[in-house]
Amino acid sequence: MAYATNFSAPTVYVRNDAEDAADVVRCLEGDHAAFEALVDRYQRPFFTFAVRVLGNRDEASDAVQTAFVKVYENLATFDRNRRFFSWAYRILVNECLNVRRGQRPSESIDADLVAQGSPLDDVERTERRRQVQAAILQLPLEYRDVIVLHYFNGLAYEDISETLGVPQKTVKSRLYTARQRLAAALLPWTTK
Amino acid sequence: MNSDHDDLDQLLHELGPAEPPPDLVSAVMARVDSLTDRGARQTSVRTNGVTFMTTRKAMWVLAAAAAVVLAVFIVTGFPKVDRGTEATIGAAQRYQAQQLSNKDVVVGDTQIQEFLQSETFDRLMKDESARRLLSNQSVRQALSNPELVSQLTNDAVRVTLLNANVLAAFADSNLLNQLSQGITDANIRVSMVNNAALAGGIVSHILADANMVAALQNQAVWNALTSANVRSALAADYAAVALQSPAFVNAIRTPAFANAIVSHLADAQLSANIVSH
Repeated sequence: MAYATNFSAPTVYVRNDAEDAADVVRCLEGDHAAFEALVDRYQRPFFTFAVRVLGNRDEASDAVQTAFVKVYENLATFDRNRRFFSWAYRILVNECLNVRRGQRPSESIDADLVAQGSPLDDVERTERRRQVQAAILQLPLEYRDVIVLHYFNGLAYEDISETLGVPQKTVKSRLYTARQRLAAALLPWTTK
Repeated sequence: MNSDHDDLDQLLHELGPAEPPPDLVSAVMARVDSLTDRGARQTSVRTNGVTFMTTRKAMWVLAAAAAVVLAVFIVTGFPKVDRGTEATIGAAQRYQAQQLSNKDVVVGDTQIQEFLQSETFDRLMKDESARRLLSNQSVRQALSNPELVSQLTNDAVRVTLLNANVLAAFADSNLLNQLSQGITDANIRVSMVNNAALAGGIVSHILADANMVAALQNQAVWNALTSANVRSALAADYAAVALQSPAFVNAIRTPAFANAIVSHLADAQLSANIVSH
């Protein structure tokens, strides 16, 4: 699979299991700064997930905030044999699912969401991004999840499997189907 | 098709990740802080139909009680203050937080009756381990504290109560003293966990576990463990089975549980079941 791309953003998600575990312990002992460190560490992958899944920056911001608050409220129940990131991500996925249920199907895509690149972006590029985001939003949620986790947050199959609580085989299969559907939906752009 | 997919990869990567709003972290922390503040200021919480009397209401009750006591002292004269008891005050004041008690939970007889006639209670009585545990009067007395019952709905607290190290520490006054210091003071806790002389010891093991520390920082949990009878019951095999059984866990989630478990009706039911089984 070729990854020839002009996308140069740094990797969104980097494993920080040891730091996470230490921060969780400090947080349980009442250290708010430790929780702030966790939020700061994961705000970007969380927001990326929410915004790509929900297609709306405000709703994504609300969902991420609510998810982090739920993480805080339930931290004492977190099983420290598991990875914090996967556990917290699961809470975010559920929160986005709740928001998604309340969304109207014809919800428009935020202009900011597709026009936030370089100021030199031309109209065609902006339209191309809008179409890609629209195609992602057309995917059933289980396919949308894996596409966003894999492409936008750079999670490996193993990490996606743990986060979504499904076998790696299922992750691969969903990713394959999701790519097929996206390729079909974006045919005019992929054949240009 | 592969070429299509290469193009697709490029399209997806071009869309890229999204930058969160600059104030996202501060917004989350503000919500977390307000959550903490609200917990402290809350005047009335309604949970599953049970009204808890909270801080402000308790303050009014205390103020009224203080006024009555003052009036009595004015009429009868103030009592003499004995010297030599100052040292005990520090230990007694180790925990200042308001805890829920029976008086804070207003559960009507009807709710108790309903609970005792419910399928939840029936299942509890049919669970042999739970029945054996509840047949212990000290255990039932401890469970009449709604704060303890509320804490027990947390898996980590139940695990803590069953932990052999915890039970051993509470049975030894020296270990209990060390544990008390470690639980109360985070700096002492860290030094105890890292102390080579204590390493591998009972107290170090407990203090190294954040879940156990959190559980033991609760006054109701601590109080329950200070009872030798409760500890003895918790050390029994059936206690581990009982505390993890769905029948018990479902029962303690019922708001009327704490009040019902020490009622005469529960006593009668428990006795009847103990006899019949």
